[in-house]
Amino acid sequence: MNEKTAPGPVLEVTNLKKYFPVKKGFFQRTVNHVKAVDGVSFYLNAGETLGLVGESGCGKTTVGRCVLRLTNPTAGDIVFKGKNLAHMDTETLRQVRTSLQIIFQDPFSSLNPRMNVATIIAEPIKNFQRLSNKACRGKVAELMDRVGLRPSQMYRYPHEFSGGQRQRIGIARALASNPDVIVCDEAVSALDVSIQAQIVNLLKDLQTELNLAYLFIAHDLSVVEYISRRIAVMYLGHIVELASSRELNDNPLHPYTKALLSAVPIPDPLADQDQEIILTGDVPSPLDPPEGCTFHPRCPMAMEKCRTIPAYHEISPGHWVACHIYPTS
Amino acid sequence: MNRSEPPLLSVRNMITSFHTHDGIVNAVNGIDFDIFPGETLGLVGESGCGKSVTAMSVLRLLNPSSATTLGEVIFKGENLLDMTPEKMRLIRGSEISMIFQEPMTSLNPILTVGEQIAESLRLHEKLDQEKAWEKAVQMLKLVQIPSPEIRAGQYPHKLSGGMRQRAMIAMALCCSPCLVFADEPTTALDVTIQAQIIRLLDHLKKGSNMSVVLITHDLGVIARMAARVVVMYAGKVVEEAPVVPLFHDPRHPYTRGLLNSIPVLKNDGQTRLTEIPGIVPNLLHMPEGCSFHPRCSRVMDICTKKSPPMVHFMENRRAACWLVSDE
Repeated sequence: MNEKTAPGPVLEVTNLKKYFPVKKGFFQRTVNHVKAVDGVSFYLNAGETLGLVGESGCGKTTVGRCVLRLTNPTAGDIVFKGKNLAHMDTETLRQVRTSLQIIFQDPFSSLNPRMNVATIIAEPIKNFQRLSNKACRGKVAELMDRVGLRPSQMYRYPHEFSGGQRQRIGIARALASNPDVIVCDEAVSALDVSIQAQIVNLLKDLQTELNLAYLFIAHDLSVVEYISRRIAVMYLGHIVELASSRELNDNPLHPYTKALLSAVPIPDPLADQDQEIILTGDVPSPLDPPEGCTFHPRCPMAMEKCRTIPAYHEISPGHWVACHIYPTS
Repeated sequence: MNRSEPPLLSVRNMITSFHTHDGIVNAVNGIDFDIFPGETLGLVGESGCGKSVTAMSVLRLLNPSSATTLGEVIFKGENLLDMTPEKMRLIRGSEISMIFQEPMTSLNPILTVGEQIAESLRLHEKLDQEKAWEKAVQMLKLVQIPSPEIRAGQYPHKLSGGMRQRAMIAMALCCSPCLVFADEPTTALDVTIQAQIIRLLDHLKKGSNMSVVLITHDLGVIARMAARVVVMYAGKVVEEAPVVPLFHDPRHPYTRGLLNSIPVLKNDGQTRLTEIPGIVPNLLHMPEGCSFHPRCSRVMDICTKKSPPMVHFMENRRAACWLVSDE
């Protein structure tokens, strides 16, 4: 939509790694590392949505948190509008974060129950802008109106709202500091379908209106595909495939993407369910990931070669894949 | 499904109310449905519509000091709601059983998986310790848990989510019940694991004449598994139909809205999702007339005043809406 207005990416993540130490024994020695994110690279253009899908434990949330430096990455670069966040001091980071916001998954635990809605939404405004109380209230009312809440409910507390409404409060809070990029970490996963549709539509409207870029993290492929222009599929700390959402749907290359797509139950009883690819086994523990391609123990097409790490390369313009079936030319 | 046979279980005008500080809440507000031998009935609706409470009420798992259930639940000629607790205990787990939603919290963390399965076998099938354990291992094998002998001796925290759900299924099926309530059996699982569990349930059902009541909010799972679907909204049945007509020719505006609001794969990504405006009403302050009318796109005058009657049409469909006629 806004490709023309976006000359370069607003956010560029290169070779991001996050290892969590596993400590044991009396002296809390580090005995091992959980490689939650192990070399992830992607970029995000202004006004576009990049979907990040994967199953529990694949590291998608950690990527989102690293992008905002809510957790400090072990290695890698996060370049936001030409500035590298990975090595930034806290004060500069605080300023940059105004244009980099997050919407959390659980609308029940991400709002402070002791603050009323006005205080919650006004917090980022008060932190970063010098506004009078009256102007601040005006801004809160405007934000509430924009996300579809009644400004008259400004002095209510989070428990008085339903799940969908709370998620709207979370969105208003994220919008309060006029961000360019919002990380939506499973922002609609906890909601019922009818409410989920409302929030997805709201996010889309806000994007067109304010030229926001979303990093949309979710496990539900149908929602991700619906909202994203490009999708990255993660498995055990790696991006295994990245393509435009149409390309990913019509021409998925990685066996994991294929399995993931076919596993989504289609809400039509007459749909052909025979092409289902059923993966065997569970996602392996990131503490002890399989050697080489991390997917090979579950892969229906595994070969001898899969014991070595496949290269992540561009197979056609904009379509990246990490799999030995598609060799680098 | 065999329609010529009498229903296995009939629920008639069941009302379940909870006593809360703010007053009495009817979580289930007069529902009727039948389950026939060997069929899979889907029970869909959003959070708080009363679908789980329905299952809990039928099995009488709700605490009688905080909840009362009125109406009739006829199972094999007897009303389950009038039964003594002792008799109910003999039925629960052996003839009617339940697969719970959260495999993380519904297993006992201080008993091994094998012990938990063996427990109901000892109780209902009167097997001795050794035989019960053997059968438990067999059940784990049946639900395709690799190396069941080792797994039976492990505690639930050693098992992954998918494996716990398999153990849960093994536990529900170990006494060969004729009716199983599966309450969101795949909701807490990842899609690839969900696909495994759906296939497993399909496979287990094929070999038996067991009836399954599948409770879920996921219409994709319903389309995949159920033969007949009951849609609930705010404690009431709003529509019932066989699965194909329900998805292709829904009659109640709520069912339509629900189907339209699911994002579907293979979408070009440009169209907007059709949302249902507003929120599910608070059960304490139900709107007058049809409980869906504040959110309904086709609301009429009468909807705000009188609750619509249940209209039966075509051979086996019904809907509660003023727009639906029996033509």
